[in-house]
Amino acid sequence: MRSFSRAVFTCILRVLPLLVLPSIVLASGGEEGGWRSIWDLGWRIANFAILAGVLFYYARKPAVNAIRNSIESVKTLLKEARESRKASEARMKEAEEKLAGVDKEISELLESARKEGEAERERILAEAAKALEKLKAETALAIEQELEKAKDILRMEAANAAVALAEEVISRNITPEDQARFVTEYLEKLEANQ
Amino acid sequence: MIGIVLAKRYAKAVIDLAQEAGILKEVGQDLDRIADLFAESHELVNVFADPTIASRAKEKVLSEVLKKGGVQELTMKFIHVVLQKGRILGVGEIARSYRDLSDQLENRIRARVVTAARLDDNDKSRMKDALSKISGKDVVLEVEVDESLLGGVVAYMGSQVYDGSIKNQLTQLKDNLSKGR
Repeated sequence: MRSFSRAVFTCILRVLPLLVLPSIVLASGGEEGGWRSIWDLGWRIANFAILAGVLFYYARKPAVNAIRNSIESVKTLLKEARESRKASEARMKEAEEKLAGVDKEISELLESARKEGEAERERILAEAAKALEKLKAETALAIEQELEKAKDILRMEAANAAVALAEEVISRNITPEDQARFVTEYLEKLEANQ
Repeated sequence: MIGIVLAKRYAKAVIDLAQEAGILKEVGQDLDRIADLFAESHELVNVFADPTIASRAKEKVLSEVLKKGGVQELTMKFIHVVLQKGRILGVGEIARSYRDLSDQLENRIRARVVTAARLDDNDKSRMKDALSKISGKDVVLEVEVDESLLGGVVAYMGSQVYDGSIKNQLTQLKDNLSKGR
């Protein structure tokens, strides 16, 4: 407060010569008019001093408060700006650190993905090979079974045909003597079976 | 049809009485004749199977039939009991059970012999002797001719089968050929 008052006072002292000096210069223009001019200047200075005093008296507190508030506000802003800057710097540092780690992480992820992909590829290839082997074996078995089935059918058909032919030949050529011989042989076997 | 168990129960009942009376064979013959009669006459079966015909009428018909057949008194009474029990259509099964039981009682066995050609008496006699020696029982031969055997003989005795037919040999040959042996 005191410093402000001193500042206002200093300001008045500096401005006052600027206001007074032209009047002195003008007053020095003649003998007669010189006293009048000095008198006039004296009134003006007194008038100004009163005005300045009134102004100083009434405007001092609001102006001081406004300026003080302004200063506080600026200080607060400055403090916040500094804190914000610090926080930003911290974040930036953190981000830079992360960024530095991200490259490594990315390369690790890429490597891991590559390895997993390789392993998956190997696994798929192994499974495909296994499935192929199984399919081959099943196909071979199916072929073998079909062949066996076809052979069985052929054998059965051949046997049926052979036996049908044999029956036909026997029934056509068998004689009563043959029948008698069959019965005799049967009885001999039956008697031997006792 | 009355089932083997029930038929045996009826046969056992009558066979005991027949054995006591000493008419085992006669009652057996009566039952066989009656069974044959029912097997051959569908009209008779229809009459006894018809639930709308009164029991008394059925008994009257049965009495007439049995009198004409000249069956034993025991057989007549037994058949009437069977009729009253509603089992008359199972007389064939009862007759077969009676035959089996009487065969057991008299140490007898029946052998069904199937041949491709007719057997002469000498062959039959040899067959009977051979089967008797195998079974240790008196054998009653029932001979049939079946030309589909092509040649040889098949004898069925109890649960045993003695198959010496050409047909059987050809069947075995076919099996062996089919199996690639």
